[in-house]
Amino acid sequence: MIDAEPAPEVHFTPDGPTVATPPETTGRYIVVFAHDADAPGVLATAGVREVASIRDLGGELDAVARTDTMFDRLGMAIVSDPGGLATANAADVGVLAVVPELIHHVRDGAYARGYADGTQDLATRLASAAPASADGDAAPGARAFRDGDAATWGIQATRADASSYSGAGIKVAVLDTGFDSTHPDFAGRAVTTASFIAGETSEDGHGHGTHCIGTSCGPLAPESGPRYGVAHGAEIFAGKVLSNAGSGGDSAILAGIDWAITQGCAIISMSLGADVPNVHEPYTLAGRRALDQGSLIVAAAGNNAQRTDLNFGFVGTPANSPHIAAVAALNQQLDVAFFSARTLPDARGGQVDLAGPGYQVYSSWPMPQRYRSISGTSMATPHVAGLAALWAEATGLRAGALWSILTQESHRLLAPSLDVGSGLLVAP
Amino acid sequence: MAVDDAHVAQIDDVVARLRARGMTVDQVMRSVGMVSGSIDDPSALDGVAGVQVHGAVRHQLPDPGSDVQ
Repeated sequence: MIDAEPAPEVHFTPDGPTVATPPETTGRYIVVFAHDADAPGVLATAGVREVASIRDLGGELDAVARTDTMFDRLGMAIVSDPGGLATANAADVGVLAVVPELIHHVRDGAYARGYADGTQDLATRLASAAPASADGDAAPGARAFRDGDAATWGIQATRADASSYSGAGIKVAVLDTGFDSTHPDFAGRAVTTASFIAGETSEDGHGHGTHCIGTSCGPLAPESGPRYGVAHGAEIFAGKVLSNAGSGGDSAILAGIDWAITQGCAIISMSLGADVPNVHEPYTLAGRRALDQGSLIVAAAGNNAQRTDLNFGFVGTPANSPHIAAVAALNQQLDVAFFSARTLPDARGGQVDLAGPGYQVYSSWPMPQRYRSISGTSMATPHVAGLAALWAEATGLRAGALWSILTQESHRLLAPSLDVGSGLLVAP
Repeated sequence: MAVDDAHVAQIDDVVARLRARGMTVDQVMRSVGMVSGSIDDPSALDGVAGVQVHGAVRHQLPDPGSDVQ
């Protein structure tokens, strides 16, 4: 997923990532038609003439590079001059988009074999990127998940929506910035809260905690919007170990772990960490003692990679402790998210163990905003925590035995194990 | 302060010894076998049986408006 050449600096905006340098284009345009549009008629009316059908080019597919061509099966045309379509009212005649043709490079950084191949590659990609069905589920053959009306992409990718398990009877602790107890999606749920931050209640003044609790334990059927929570039947333990400013020390976190063990939580989810590459011994002990008492700790591997700049980062503390499961973040294509930290060579215990959905994750946010989509290994971790609760319910296993089944049952990915461990955890 | 396996069962005795050396004990965490607190000179705790001293690390999330958390 990484270009061999240095990537331009990426800026992240609410509309998605952008780069300061404009993309390379061919000077031609791709016209995308609505399903029912009269494409030849629209082109003729707009003054775009002599557009050949791809079917009329015979075997000379490289002619696409120099001939204005209609891709009948795709409902698209590539033209040198979009004429009147480039201006307003295109939508009225059934044109969905008019976009510049981009130049694509092969991933090894060597320039491709001219843009004829680029055009064919584009056509192939467009053909394979089948549209999602109405409920948002990935269409057969499609390689990307997307949020649907019924469930978020993460719930679909982890098959939580197909599971008969809910985490019933399992206690899940989320140690984070607290919990918005007024959030309507959790009305009637068993939620036990505690604050380990001096001068602050367990109410979430940041948002991160409420988001993580939503992903791990959110409801089966929210009043509105898609399902975003995995273990909808689990009992929630919200420990505030990070302040409303998002920070906390070891003592609060260890106190939270201690509390969660005492409460009998089978799963302890910690979407927190410090960019410290060496193992911090208190978490080695805390992780081992948690396992000894039936609690499995899962923690965020960290967001310190900038893979677009060939910087792969490292698993920070506490996730790098050998008795704590470190979780990496995947995007909708099940590729490693650009920020997700990599296993360090020779790091004792400091490896990525599992991966979960962690890019553009929709979940609960403190009222009045109610919902928000954010990215991070912090978002992958509660997916894994919720799934672990389902496995705990399904198998009765706890601690090390539970961890073992999670490793066995995760779906292997093409990405290096350095980045994703045993792969994408899915529901039982 | 991490209390070793042999002394976890006697954590209260360990805490008493730490206090005697001048440590202000904030929390006694029985399940994980740890004690948190502060002391001006950690070397004063050298030789207390069954404990290891670790400096506390601070953990920080991005601000709530950040896209990557």
